[in-house]
Amino acid sequence: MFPARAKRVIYLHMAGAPSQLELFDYKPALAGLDGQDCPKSLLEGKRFAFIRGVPKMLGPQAHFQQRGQSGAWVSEHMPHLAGIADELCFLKAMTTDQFNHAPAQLLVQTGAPRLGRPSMGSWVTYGLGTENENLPGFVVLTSGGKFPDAGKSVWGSGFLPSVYQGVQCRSEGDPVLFIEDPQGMDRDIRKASIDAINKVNEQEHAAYGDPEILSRISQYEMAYKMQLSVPETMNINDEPAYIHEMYGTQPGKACFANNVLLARRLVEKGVRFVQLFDWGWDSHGTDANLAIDVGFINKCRQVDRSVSALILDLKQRGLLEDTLVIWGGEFGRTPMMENRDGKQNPFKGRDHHVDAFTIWMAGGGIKRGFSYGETDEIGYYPISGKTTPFDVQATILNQLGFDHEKFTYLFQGRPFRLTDVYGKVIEEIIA
Amino acid sequence: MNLLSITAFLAHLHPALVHLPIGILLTALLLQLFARWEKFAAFRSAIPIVLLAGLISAVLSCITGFLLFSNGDYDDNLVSAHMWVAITLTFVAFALYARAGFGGRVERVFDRNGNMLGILLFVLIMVAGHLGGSLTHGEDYLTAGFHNTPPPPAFRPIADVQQAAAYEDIVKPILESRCNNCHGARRQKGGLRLDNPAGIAKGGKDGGVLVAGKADSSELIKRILIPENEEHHMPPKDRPQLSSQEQQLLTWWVNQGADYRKQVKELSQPEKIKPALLALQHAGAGGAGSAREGDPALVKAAGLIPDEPVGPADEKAIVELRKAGVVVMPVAQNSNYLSVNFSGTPAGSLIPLLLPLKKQLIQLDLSGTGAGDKDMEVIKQCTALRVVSLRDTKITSNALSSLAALSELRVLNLAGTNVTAQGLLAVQPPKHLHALYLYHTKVERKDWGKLQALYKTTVLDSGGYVLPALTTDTAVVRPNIKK
Repeated sequence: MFPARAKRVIYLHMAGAPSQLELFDYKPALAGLDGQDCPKSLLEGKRFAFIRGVPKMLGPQAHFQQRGQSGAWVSEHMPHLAGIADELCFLKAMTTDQFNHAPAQLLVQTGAPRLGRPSMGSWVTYGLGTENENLPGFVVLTSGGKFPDAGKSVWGSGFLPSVYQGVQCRSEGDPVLFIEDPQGMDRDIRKASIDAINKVNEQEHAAYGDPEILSRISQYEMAYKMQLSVPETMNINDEPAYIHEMYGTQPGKACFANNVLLARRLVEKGVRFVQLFDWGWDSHGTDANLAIDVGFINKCRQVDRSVSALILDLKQRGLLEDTLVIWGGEFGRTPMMENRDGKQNPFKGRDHHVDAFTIWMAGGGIKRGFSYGETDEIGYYPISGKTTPFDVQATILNQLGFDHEKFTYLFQGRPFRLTDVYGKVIEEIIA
Repeated sequence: MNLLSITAFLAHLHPALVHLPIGILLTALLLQLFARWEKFAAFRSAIPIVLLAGLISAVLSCITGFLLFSNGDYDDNLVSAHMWVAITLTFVAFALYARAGFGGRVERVFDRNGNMLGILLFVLIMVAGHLGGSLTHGEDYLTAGFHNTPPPPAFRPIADVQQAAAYEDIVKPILESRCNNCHGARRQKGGLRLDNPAGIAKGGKDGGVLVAGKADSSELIKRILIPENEEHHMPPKDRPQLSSQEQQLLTWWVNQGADYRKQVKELSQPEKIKPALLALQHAGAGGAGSAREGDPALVKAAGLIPDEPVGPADEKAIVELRKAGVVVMPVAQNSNYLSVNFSGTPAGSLIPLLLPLKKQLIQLDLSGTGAGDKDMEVIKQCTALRVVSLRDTKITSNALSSLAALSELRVLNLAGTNVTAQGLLAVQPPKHLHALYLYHTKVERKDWGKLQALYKTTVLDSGGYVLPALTTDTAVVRPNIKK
């Protein structure tokens, strides 16, 4: 029996992959190696996205401190999050096998590095449905000025019926493009026209039997309901001033903090899966915005307050009991300083690193104030408690009440599952 | 292919081969039983040939069985009993065949002596078969269904882990629950026994398994730590695995010299092992070794689902609720217990529909539904409820006496309602209540102390969290121009 501990999920995907070595994985030994040539043994048989030849080691570019009663290490870059460290559960020995953004993001969100698989949110809404029939079960919000590298496939429904794909909303202007009726069309005419279209579609379905036509019909109906429900839910102006202050929102602008507040409003209304993508974490050191000691710090500051506020706000509303929050990127960053094509980069930066990174979870029946997994002295390889995106997916499904090995969909003659043939529920982090 | 591997191959055929004499000889006995009647007289001539086939397969089973026995790995007592019964069985089968086959006088198997031999053969087949089964599956395999008790957790609760004996109280229970099934008194796979210090010191067929003080060089630890998919990993992939805490504890014990007498406090305790040691004090309540998938203790600790199963709920009420937009879901796969979420659907007339579900209903979310005090009179009768959310509803302190009557209640969310501290102080809190949410209520700061005194075992959440204003909230780092 798998008792469901979570009813809803908020996945905060930091696209580009934040550096664990400047946030949670404190490696004092790495400071001693700063500026030295990387030992050959670490490079043999390895392939990096941009590092060529022998790079220099790069010590931690942040001050660390142990926080709360749990003693979790959180750096100065996220002071608010440091204050709520006892609410979080860190997975510090995450690994993946994809060193480019798009495949790695697909792996995290769909369980496969190639296109075509349904995303986690689609699986979950396919399995559990929505809690609010006036809102889509799976909503996506993006920020950071760029879409995820893998495109909209990271919230696609793959081979599942397309009603389960993520509905992307905007935090600026109309929440969904063209959601307003055009001038001169009132709601009755809209209803009449949708009814007429659906009727034609039903005839089509009777004639051809394509299940996608049924999806189309329900999407028209959902769109009609959303015309009322979405603008109301997505309007953060009716939140009291102290909530805006808590999250650090900037009403009217497209920004991550607004999306985080929206995420809370959406799960409060019964949306099953909210996925946030925030671009800008790809700290290679090729320009100031992507420098580990400049742009990266600004990214941390952009998310620190709102994410901490989200945890506390969910907590005080009693929603953290059954809402699972996940924060993390698609891979980690190297303990070496990036030397693109063998040349020194203009700023301090780190390359993509697949062998070790940190993500954290909170709520939804996950242990509070807990760290699982450990990396070696320089944060290069895991030495214990190694976990993979599949294990995280298995754990998320477990918390929602699914056995990830039995939750399948028959496609092209074989049952498929989110975790493919991999994944193990991380029992150690379940409260 | 050398001689040794051929012998090993033949030996490993034994578990499959033994089914032949069992089946064939039982067939012969069946013929012996029925062919005495004229009606089945046609079968009489088949008896000798069936007995001969059974006899040959019995001899082959004896030979392969002996080869398997010489390979070791098994409990001596059980194995020799199995062997002698099987050899006797073969001789009895021969005697019966001799009566039937020699001289073409099949009828001799139906006389007194023939019957005695038949009955003896039947008993011997049963005994040999049972002993063989006990060897492969374990002695308690057959009767496991009768005792319903789940396997005990690896650890007995330890009051003070520092006072505990490192081997007796920590290491031995781990080995007992994870290793001794195959490396214990009954069986010694690979010639290894881990149920006593002498056995651990002696090691197995391939030598020592433990280097005191050096976990890295100890086969015992190495085998446990290599990935589960490796061929040499222990315990084998399909057997219960050690939890990471159990692994840590064993490794720590070996690194500290693998001492059999010392107490925990006499051994040095690096920072890393402390949580695992401390967890032993809470073992049984979801601590080390017991918190496993599907472990009833785990589910019970959370108090999410009652222990006793419940029958299916009234479909009609569920359909009607769903039609109105209410989400009704089972709380877990294969459970009849229900979670009902109104997701903001005006509750009004729908509340009485919950009554037919009152045995199954354990989680109820009425947040934002406009439910009021009167509705709680109905909710009061749903006594199985464990998690109730009334966030942002119209209820007041008048509803609290009804809610306090829900004796199984674990989590109660009253955020955004008009309840007061006086109301909360006037009722006796449900015994198991462990979380009470009071954000945005009429509860005032000054009453907080009194509430905490009454709700001793409950986590009260007042909400109203604020984050301090920090310069980092708005300050932007700019690149150093000198570069």
